[in-house]
Amino acid sequence: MENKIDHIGWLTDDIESTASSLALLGYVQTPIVNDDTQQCRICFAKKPGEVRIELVEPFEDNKTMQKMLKKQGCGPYHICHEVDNIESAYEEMLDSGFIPLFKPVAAPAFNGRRICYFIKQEIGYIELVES
Amino acid sequence: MERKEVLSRVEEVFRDVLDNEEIVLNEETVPATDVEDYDSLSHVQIVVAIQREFGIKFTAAEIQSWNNVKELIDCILNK
Repeated sequence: MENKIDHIGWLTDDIESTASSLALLGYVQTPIVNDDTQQCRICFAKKPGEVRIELVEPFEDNKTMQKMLKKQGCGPYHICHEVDNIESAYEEMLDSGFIPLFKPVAAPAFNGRRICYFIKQEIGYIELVES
Repeated sequence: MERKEVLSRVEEVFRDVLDNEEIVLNEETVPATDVEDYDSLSHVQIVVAIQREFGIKFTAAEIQSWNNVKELIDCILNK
């Protein structure tokens, strides 16, 4: 499937604090968006010529991601790839043994473009976003 | 491998992934409704942890076929 890296997903317990730390490395923060489906606050840290970083701060009652945060601390936890056709990419990922969290859904952080997530034992978490 | 042993090991996986030693499973348990804090993310984390625990791989069709712990155990024993 045709794809390119869209962003690196970065788990944080304090989005503003992580964004200001990334500012030291030349990254500029975008406005924060609340994603009620994923139960997270999200923004991007952008730097010309570099892959952007998606900062993900789970809501307090997002127990599963709060536990992930507690286990691994702040840091990268997924890579997102942009694909032309998310429906066929979703099926291709299933056929290759990737386990889906959910079927493609519209994401507010991407202006309504659809995303889906997968996990595979050999690689970890992969997100797809439609172009 | 006996069903009782599989259930015990699966229960331990649930407790570890969900970080909750209070979880008790039986074959009738429906995780989505009966297990506290169970969601789509913890579901796939548990699937991966079970694969690792038993040294097996599930297909997407198998994962989608489980309605309760009994059906999960059946799938593990059929591997």
